[in-house]
Amino acid sequence: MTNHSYKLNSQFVTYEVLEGEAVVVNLLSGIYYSLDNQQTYVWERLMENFSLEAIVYALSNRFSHPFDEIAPQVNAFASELEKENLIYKSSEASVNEVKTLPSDFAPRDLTPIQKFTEMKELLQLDPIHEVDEQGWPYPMPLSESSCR
Amino acid sequence: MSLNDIFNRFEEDWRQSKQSTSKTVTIKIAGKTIHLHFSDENLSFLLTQALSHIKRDCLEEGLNIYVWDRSQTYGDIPKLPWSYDQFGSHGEICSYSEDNFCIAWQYSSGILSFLDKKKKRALYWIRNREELPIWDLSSPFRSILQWWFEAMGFTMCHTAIVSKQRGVMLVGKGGSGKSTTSMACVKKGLGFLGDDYCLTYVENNTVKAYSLYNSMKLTPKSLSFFPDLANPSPSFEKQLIFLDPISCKNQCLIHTLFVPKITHASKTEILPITKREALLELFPTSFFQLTYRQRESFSRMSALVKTVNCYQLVLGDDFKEGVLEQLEAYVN
Repeated sequence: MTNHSYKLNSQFVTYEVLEGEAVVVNLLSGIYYSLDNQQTYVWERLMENFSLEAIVYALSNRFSHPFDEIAPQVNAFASELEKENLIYKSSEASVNEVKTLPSDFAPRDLTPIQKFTEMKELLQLDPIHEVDEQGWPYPMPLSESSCR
Repeated sequence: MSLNDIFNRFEEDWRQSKQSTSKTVTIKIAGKTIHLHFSDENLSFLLTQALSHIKRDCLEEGLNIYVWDRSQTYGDIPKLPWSYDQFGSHGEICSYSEDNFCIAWQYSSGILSFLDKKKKRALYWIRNREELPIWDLSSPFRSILQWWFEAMGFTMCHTAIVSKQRGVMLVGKGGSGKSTTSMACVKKGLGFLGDDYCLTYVENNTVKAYSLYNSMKLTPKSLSFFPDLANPSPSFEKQLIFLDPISCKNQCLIHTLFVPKITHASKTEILPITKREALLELFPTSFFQLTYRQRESFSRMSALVKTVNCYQLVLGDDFKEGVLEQLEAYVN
């Protein structure tokens, strides 16, 4: 596990945390994600610029879980977030210790992430070329697409 | 040509299109005045059916929206100077950097919406009034109202709202039972604020909701529960109903949000849900139907969910009676 951190792709990704659970939205693609409590805990630490190693170390110490048991789960979670273009690797990790700890953290798979794509399909309809004849979400024929 | 020049040319075309029956209708939403200037009376009737409950006699300054269609166009309508790849997913023009203006061209409806925030004026040009789809008759001027009110901190939500002393929001994707539930409530005497879109404003741990439209769209299946309403309109798969202003309320405070779910349970009941689940029902159809989607809208929807109590409303076979029994405590 390397000591890099991650940054949010903030140009097109936003998120909100409600009662310890996060909803993350890709504003461009329309894909949105729902994170449970444990996923949200790791997500928030990543947003605070902590490295994966620091997060795993804090959890391992607090709950006496083996480091090597939690590390692959947290690593896999971060990789999936990166694959979804929600975050990207950064070399600027916080040097502080992770102080915020959850009330509970049981070692388990943190992937897959719950993902919703129905809005992506709606947004990606090309109003002119890709939909049937009736207008958006049915298109206008190209020659009639001006105001005249 | 600047956006201001383009706007002026369109506005000039509206002036030339005015008929002897041209008409101004004034509405008030959340205390803000909007004057709708129609080229002719027929167009005024068509597009104010959904607004009859918020009409006011008022000469206060406000937003001026100029409305006409191609049949009244005097000369050559100005061409839009953008290529197709500059239109966003909902027809909004993405590439202009002039912040005062919002523009969207809706292909399917044939409607150009064009707002000049600085000069408080807007255009609503229609290609053919005879071809307006049901959603533009039920929610006219939606993009312009969204842009105008968002700039003032409001959020346009995809929700039904009914109210007595307090209002409840009914949120969820199409087919979840919002319209059927809200009609059942109206039949039992609750006030109606909206079936599809309402404005909300969150401030100081309080959510206020404001009515936009008195319209409701019911599927044939929903109509089967209310046979007195059925008036089959062969053109549409949903029937469009405009509620009498006497059944409508213009604003209310919201304390509770419900996510309806249609089931075959014998009894209607209320179950807990998490705030995350509630946001996942509210925001997708609200947020992704907006033009010029701003992250602030998502934050405001999240703030709304954090402020109110959230539940699932499980609709059973007894829903016509059971809904009000269950909601009674939440609207009083």
